[in-house]
Amino acid sequence: MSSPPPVLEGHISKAFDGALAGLHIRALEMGGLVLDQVREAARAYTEWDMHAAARVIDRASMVSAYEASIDHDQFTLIARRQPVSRDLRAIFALAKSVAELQRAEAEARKIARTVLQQNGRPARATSVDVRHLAQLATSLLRLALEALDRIDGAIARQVIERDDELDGEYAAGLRRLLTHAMEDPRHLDVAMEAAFVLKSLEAIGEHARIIARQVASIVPEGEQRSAEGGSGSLGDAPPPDTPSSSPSPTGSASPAASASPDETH
Amino acid sequence: MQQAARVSQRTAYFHLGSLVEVGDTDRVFTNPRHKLTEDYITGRFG
Repeated sequence: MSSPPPVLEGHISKAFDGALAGLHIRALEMGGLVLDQVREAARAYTEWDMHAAARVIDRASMVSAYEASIDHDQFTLIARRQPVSRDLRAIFALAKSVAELQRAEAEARKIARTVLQQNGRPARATSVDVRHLAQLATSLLRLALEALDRIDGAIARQVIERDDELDGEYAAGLRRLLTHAMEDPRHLDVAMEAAFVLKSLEAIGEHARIIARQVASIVPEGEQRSAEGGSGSLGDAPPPDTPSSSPSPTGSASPAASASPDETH
Repeated sequence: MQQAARVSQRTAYFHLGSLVEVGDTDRVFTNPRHKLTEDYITGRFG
């Protein structure tokens, strides 16, 4: 969570830069909180810790507060700045990522509630499976947040690829759980709860993947903007990122909109 | 620029007298191909 990535900055209006960076940082803060919620919920389940589970439930309002304030700021930013192109994509990607974070947090709360219901502690083998799956899910979520932090398409694509690994582990964990349940049907209710916990962790991985997709959509692969004139049509124009290259006061840089008569009919 | 986005079907962007990019307005304002166009419409220079 260092300085804002260059993708989001560089506007002439520094206030716009600041608002966009503020939105970005708050989404990341919310991500950090959700990551902690997931970790705490998984720990509460594997160690059967009531206090940790209660803490997860208590902090739900903090996550909702983040979501509400980010939503509000996004509306304000769109209304006041009319963002286009990359800025618009970034704002939408942040909005969707925040929604996914909230869903991931809801899954963490489901796990915490399972502990609080106290229907029975999972078997040791199941705890090991849950711990392993939780490690995978949190590492995916952390990687997705890192991609969101740096707005880095390469990291985002890593998350998308690694989600399959989590899916495989989930299927294997579920099979092992079913085998245990069939061997000892007396604890079928505990086994079913464990299956839901595994499913929640798999869903958290899925939310991480969707966040990664959103990050990748801000700077799509293979659509890097050409700075040297693309098809060479720019001719001898100076490079765009040097201060001296800004257009002359005569205003020779302008968009020309054409609404030709034959197209308007 | 907002008016250009609202009324036109196609948009062209010129920089220092040279044509940089031309295309459907929807595309130019959502996914421009050239960095100069993007920097201009997003308010990074100009």
